[in-house]
Amino acid sequence: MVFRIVILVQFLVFTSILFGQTFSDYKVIGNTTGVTELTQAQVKSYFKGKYTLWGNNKSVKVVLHSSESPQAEKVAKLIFNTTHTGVKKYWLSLVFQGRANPPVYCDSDLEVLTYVKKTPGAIGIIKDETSCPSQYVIQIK
Amino acid sequence: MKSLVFRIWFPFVAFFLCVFAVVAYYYSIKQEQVYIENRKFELQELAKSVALAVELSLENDNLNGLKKALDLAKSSNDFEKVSVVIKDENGNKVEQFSNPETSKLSVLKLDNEKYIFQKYPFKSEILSGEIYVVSSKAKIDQVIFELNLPLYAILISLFFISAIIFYFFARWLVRPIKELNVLSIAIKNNQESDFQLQAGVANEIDILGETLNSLYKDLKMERKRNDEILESLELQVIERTKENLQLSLVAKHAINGILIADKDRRILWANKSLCDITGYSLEELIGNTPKMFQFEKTDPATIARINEGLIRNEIVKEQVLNKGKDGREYWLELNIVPVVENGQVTSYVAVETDITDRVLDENSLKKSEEQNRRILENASEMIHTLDNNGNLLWANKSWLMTIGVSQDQIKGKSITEFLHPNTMVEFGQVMPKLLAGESVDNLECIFLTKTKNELQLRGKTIPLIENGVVVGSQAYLNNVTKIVEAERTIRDKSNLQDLLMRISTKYINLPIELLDQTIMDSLRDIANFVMADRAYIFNYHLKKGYCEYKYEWVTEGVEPQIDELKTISLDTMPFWLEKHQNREFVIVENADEVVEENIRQLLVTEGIKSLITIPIHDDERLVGFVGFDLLKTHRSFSEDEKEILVLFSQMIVNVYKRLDYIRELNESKSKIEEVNASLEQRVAENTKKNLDLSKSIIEQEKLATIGEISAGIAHDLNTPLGTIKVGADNVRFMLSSILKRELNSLSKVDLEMIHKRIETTETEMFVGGLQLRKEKVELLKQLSEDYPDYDALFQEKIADFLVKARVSSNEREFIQKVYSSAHPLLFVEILYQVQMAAAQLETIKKSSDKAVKVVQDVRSFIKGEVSQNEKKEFNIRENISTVLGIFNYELRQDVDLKFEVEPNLTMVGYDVKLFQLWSNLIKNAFEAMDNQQEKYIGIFSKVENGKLLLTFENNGPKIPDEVMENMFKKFYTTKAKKSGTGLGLSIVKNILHEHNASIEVFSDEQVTRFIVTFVL
Repeated sequence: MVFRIVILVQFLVFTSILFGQTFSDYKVIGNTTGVTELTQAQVKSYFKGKYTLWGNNKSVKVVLHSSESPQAEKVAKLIFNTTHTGVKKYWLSLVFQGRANPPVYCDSDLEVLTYVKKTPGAIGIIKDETSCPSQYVIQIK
Repeated sequence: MKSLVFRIWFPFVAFFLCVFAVVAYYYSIKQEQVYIENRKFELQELAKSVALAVELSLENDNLNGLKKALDLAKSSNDFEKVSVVIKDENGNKVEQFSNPETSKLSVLKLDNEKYIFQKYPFKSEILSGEIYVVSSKAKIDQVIFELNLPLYAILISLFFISAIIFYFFARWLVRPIKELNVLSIAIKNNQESDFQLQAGVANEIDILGETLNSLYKDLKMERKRNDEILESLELQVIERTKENLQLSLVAKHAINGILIADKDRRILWANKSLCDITGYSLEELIGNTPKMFQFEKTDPATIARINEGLIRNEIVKEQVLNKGKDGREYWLELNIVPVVENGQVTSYVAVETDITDRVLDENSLKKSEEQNRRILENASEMIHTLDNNGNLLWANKSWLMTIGVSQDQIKGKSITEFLHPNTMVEFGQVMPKLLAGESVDNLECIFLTKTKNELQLRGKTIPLIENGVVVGSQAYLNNVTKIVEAERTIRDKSNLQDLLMRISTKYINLPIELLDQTIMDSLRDIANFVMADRAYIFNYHLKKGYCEYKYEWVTEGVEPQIDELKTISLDTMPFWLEKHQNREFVIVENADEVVEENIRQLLVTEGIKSLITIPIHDDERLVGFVGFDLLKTHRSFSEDEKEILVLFSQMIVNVYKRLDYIRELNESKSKIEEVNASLEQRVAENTKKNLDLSKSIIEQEKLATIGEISAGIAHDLNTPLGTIKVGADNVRFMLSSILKRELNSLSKVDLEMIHKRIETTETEMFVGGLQLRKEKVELLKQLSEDYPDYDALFQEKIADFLVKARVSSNEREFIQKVYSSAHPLLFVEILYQVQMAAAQLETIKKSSDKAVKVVQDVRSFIKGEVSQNEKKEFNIRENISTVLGIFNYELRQDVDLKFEVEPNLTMVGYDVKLFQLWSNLIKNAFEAMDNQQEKYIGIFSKVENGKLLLTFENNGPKIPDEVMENMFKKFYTTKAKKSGTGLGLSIVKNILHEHNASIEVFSDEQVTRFIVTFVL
C-alpha cells in the first residue's frame, strides 16, 4: 500500500514534472507593451482576451501556438488549463461574440518571436530556452 | 345628406374608396410574403457563410475569417441575433454563444409571429453544431410600409381626384332635375320661373321642363283672370257690407237723431240720439207720429211746409221748435227723406239735429251785433269799414262829422278820395297786409276833409274775416292833428338845440387851423335847419367904413358870391347897419312884399325870396352879422328860431375872441421860447464849465497820486538806468581788451565759430565761483585724458576759459574744434571775452526794456479820459499789473503781495479809467498800512453767476464807522494833512457807475476788503 502510494506520488510528481509545465519553463514576450513584468494571473488574463489594451493604449494582440506548434498543448495547459482544442473553442466563442479580436496562431516559438518582434502590442509565450532579446521578455513575478 | 348630388356622388366615392383600400391591403400582404421569403433566403445564406467561417477557423487556427464574416454580416444584414449552437453526436445542445452577446432571444424557442430564423449546420473535427440567424418581422413591416408609401400616396391622390370628378359629374347629372325641381317649386308657389329650353338640346328632361313651363304659364293666366274676377266680386261685397255696416253704425251712433217712419208717418225706429233729444224711450216712440213733439209754440207755417213737402215726396229741410218729454223746448233742424220703391213711398227717414244752442247763440249774437253797432256808431274814434277793394261800406258818426260828409255820400266811394296824397304810399303798403289777414297797429295817415283841410290821424286797422276769408277791413282812427303839430314844434326846437350844442362843442379845443372850416360847417348845418339856400357871415369894419364878406356857404345849384363881394361899403347898406346897430334882426318873409323899393329890387335881383340876418355884438361893439337867404321859398321864422340864431351869433363872437386870445398866446409863446433858448444856452455853458472843472479835479487827483508815488517811480527808473550805465562801461572795457589781442592769429574759421556760438548759444554768464571750480576740475580731468599731449598748465588755462565761457564737458565736438585751432588758448580767451560782452549787452537791453515799461505805465495812468471814449475788451490781470508796476517800489518794501487774478480773464470797459480805480484802492491800502511792520495786499478774482468779483484787501487797521459811511462822498478825506483831495473814492464810485459795477467794503481788525463786482 505504501509502495503504491509512493509510486503514485512519484508518478504524479513525474507527470507534473513532465507535464506540469510552469512559467519558469516559458518566457512571456511582448512588444511595446509598456510593462516589464506581470503576474501569472495577469499573463493568463491577457492571453484569455480579458484585456484589449495595454497601459500605453496599444491594442493587445495575443499570439498563440497553432496545432502545428509543439508547444500548443503545453501552452494551452499552462495558460488556459485546457487542451488546444479547448483554446480554439474558447477563442472561437470570444471572437464570435465580438468580445475580442482574433488571436494569431504561430507554428513555432520562432514564429511567435518573429511576430511579436514586428507587432507592437503583441504578447506571446515561448520556451525559456528560445533565445530572445531581453527587451521583449516580460518578467513573471 | 338628402341632396341628389350627394346621393349620386357618395356611392361612387365609397366604391372607389373600398377598391383602393382592398388593393392597398392585399398588395401589402403579398409584399410581406414575398419579402419574408426573400428574407429567409438571406438569413439562410448568412447562416451558411457563418458556418463556413466557423469550420474554416476551427480547421485553420485562424479566426480572422470568422470575424470578417461576422462584420460583413452585421454591415449588410439587419438581423437580431446570430448564434453558434454546439451539439454533441446525439444532436443535443452542448454550448451556445451568440452575437450580440446581450440579446435575450432564445434561438431555439422563437415566437414565429414576431421573428423569422434560418439555421445552417457546421462540422469540424473539433466541434459541430448549427448556426442560427434570427431577424425581426417588425422591421419587415416597417420596410414594407416604407416601400408601399408611394403607392399609398398615389392611391389616395387618385381617390381624391376621382371624388372631385365624380362630384362634378353628379352635379352635371343632377342639373336638369334641379331645374325641373325649381320649375315645379315655382309652379307650386305660383311664381315666375326662368326655365328655358336650351337651344339645340332636346332631351326628355328639357322637353318635360318646357311642357311643364308652358302648362304653368297657361295655368297662371287662368288663375290670374279668376283672381281678378273674384277680387272684384269680393270688393263689391266688402263695399256693400261696409256701407251697410257704416250706415247702421252711423244710424245707431250718430250725434244727430235719426227716425224711420212708415208711409203713414208712424215711427218705426229711432236711434239713441233721438231718444236723448226727445227724452222718450224707443218703445214710447214706436207707433207714434212726430206730432207728439209739437206744442203751442211750434210754428204752424213750418208744419204746413213740412206736410206739403212730404206730400210731394220731396226732401224736406226745416227748422222747428219742439218740446221734449220733460217739457224742455228744443229747436230741431229736420232733414226728411222719403224712401221710394217702385214709385211709392214706403217709408220716411228723418235726420234731426238739435240746434237749440245754435239758435240761442244766433239770437244772442244778433243782440250783440246790434249793441256793437250802437257802440261803434257812437264812438269818439273815427271808424270806417272798407271792402276788399278799399271802397267805403260804412263809417261812424265821428268819422262822418270830422270829414264833413254823410253816410250816403261815402257809400261805395274809394277811401283814397279822402286821403292826402302824402299818405297814398302808406295806404299802398297797408292794404296788402289787410288782404293777407294781418292787422296793422300804429297806423298813421293824413286825411283831407271836405274843405281840404289836412287831418293827422293815428290808429289801427284790422281785417274782417268771415269763414276764413278776408271780406274787408275796419279802421279805428284818432284825430291827432294838433298833437302832431305840437310834436313837430318840440322836435324842431330840440333839433335846433342839439344842433347848437353840437356846433358849440366843436369849437371847444378846436385847433385854430380848423376854425374856418368849422365855421363853414356850422353855417351849413344851420342853413339846412332853417332851409336856407345861402348862409354867410359879414365882419363890420366900422372905422374903415366897409363890411367884409368873411364866410359863405351855399347849397348845391346856387352861385357863391364871396369872391365878388369881398367888401361892401357901409354907405350902400344903411338899412342893415341901422338895424344891426340897434341889435335888431333884418327879416324879410317875402321879398316881393318889401316896401322899400331899392331893397326890394336888390333882393329880387339876387333871387332872394326870404332872408334873415342876425347882428353879432361883442359887448357893445357891433362886430358883424350872420345871414340866411332862402332862394326857393318864402318862409317866416319862429321866435325859437330867432332865439337860436342869436345864440349862434354869440357863439361866433366867442370864436372871434378865442382867435384873438390864441393870437396873443402864440406871440407870448414865441417870446417865451426865445427866453428859454437863451436860458438853455447859459445852462449848457455852465454845465460845460462844471464838467471841465470836475475833469480838472479828477486830473488833479491823478496828479496827486502821481506825486505820491513819484519816489517809487524815480527809484524804478534809477535801477535799470544804473545797470545800463555799468553795462555800457563793461562792454567798452571788454571790447578794448579784445581788440588789443592778436586777432589776426585766429583764422576766419575760428572767428566764425566764435560768432556762431554767440548767436546760437544763450548762456548764463553770472555763475557762482564754487560751481565754476567744480566744473573746471571735471573738465580738466577730461581734457587730460582726451588730449594727453598737452602740458598741465596749458590744459588748466584752457579749462579755465572754457568753463568761464560756459562750455560744458559734454561738448566734445566743440572742444575738439578748439584744440584743432592753431591757437587754442587765444581762441578760448577771445571766446570768453566776446561772450561776456554779449551778456552785458543783453543786460543793458533788459534794463532799458524795464525803464520803458515804467514810463509807459505812468503814461497810461496819466493818459486819462481825454483819449478814451469807447469801451474795449482788455485783460484784467494785465490792467491791474500795469498799476502794480507803478507801485513797484512800494511793493518791494516788505509787502506781502498776493496777486491771484486769472490770467485769461477779460472784460469790456474803459481800461484806462480802471487804472485810476485800482490805483486809488492800492494807494489807500498803502496809506492805511503806513505804520505797520508787516504789510499785506491781496488781489483776487472770482467769476460766479455771470459776475466778476475783484477783491482788494489789506491788513491795515479797521476803518471807523464814520469813515465807512462817508468815504465815497466827494471831498471827504481823512488825509487833509497830507494833501488828500477827498476825491479818490468818489472817483472810484463814478468809474464803477460807468461800468455798471458795484463796490462793497468790509473792515475789521484783521483785514479790510474792497470787493468790486462787474457784470460780465
